[in-house]
Amino acid sequence: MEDIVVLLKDVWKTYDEGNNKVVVLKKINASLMRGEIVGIHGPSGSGKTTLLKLIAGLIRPDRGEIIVDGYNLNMLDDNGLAMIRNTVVSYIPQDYGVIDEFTVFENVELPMLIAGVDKEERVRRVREVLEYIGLYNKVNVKTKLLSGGERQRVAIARALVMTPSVLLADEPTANLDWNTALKVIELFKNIREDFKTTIVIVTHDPRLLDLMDRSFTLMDGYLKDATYKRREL
Amino acid sequence: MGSNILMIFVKVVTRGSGLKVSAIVSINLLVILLFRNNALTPYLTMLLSMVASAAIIIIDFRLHSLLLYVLHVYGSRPNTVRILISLYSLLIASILSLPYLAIDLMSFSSALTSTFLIALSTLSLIYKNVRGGTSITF
Repeated sequence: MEDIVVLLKDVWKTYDEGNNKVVVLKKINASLMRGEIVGIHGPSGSGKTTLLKLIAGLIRPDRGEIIVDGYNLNMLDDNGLAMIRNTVVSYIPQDYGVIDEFTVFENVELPMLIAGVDKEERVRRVREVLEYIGLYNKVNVKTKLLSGGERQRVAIARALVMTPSVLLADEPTANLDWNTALKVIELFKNIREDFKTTIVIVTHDPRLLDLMDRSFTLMDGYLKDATYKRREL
Repeated sequence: MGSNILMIFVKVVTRGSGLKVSAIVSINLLVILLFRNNALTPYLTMLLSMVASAAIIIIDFRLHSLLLYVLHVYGSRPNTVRILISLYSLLIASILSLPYLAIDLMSFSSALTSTFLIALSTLSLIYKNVRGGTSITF
């Protein structure tokens, strides 16, 4: 039996906009398996980022259950969610969230500093992950001096350094040209092979969905499996 | 709060705001030296400190928001983030107040001290609230 890593059960999310309540996600049900790459596509404002943030434990649903690698996020307090974000699930923001004043090393070691990992171990793991993604030659370079693709890889290295079960990437290829975007997807595929990480990629580019194991479309708050549809085309 | 998080905090403050704060404190000290006999000097240095604090908050807004956001995303406990926000505002306010405190030691004025402390506290509070909101909604 396949190992379910992310389970969404009847998840609803509403935002207050002034006096109005906007229902962003409606009755979301989905299960994501260990080691699969899943694409989520949808128009701007359809709730893709909200869905990722729910899985990451950055926000809480109004209704429904989210279970990530065995942890029911509803059952955790704020400190528990912080622990999940540090060790179980990694979220890569759309603008990468790389700190320009820091070097590549300092950016990548950040989750380990939060976790209280000792210096020797931090150095070892940063070296490993940077060698893996091919950025070790830039280890002491400030990230503001890097290209968009390199900054993207720093963000991926930082997300990977704690070897999470789930990697969530919000529009990881939005600011990259097509060839660089393909390299990023290739890197995600290698990560999946080598670490059995479940990877969820939010994208507005439908071409990328063909490169995923499964794809979903988010429209009007509803999540629909679009894998079949795309493969039939 | 772990010493590691404190290390990140110190790095960001020194790299992001260190130079700016040093420059402002130096200018303030220069003003004190040049106009030490002028009765308006304490008020001038106080004004400089206020404006400088506001300027630094505005200039470094993105860097600090980003740091707090990244710490939040990668698993810092909510209380740690809140403490960092408070620490930062306190640190900036304290450093920028050094020139004023220097002059205050020479000519103590309780009214001026009170005004100064109230102004600094207000500024710190504004900063803290802005950061608090930002770290969640960024």
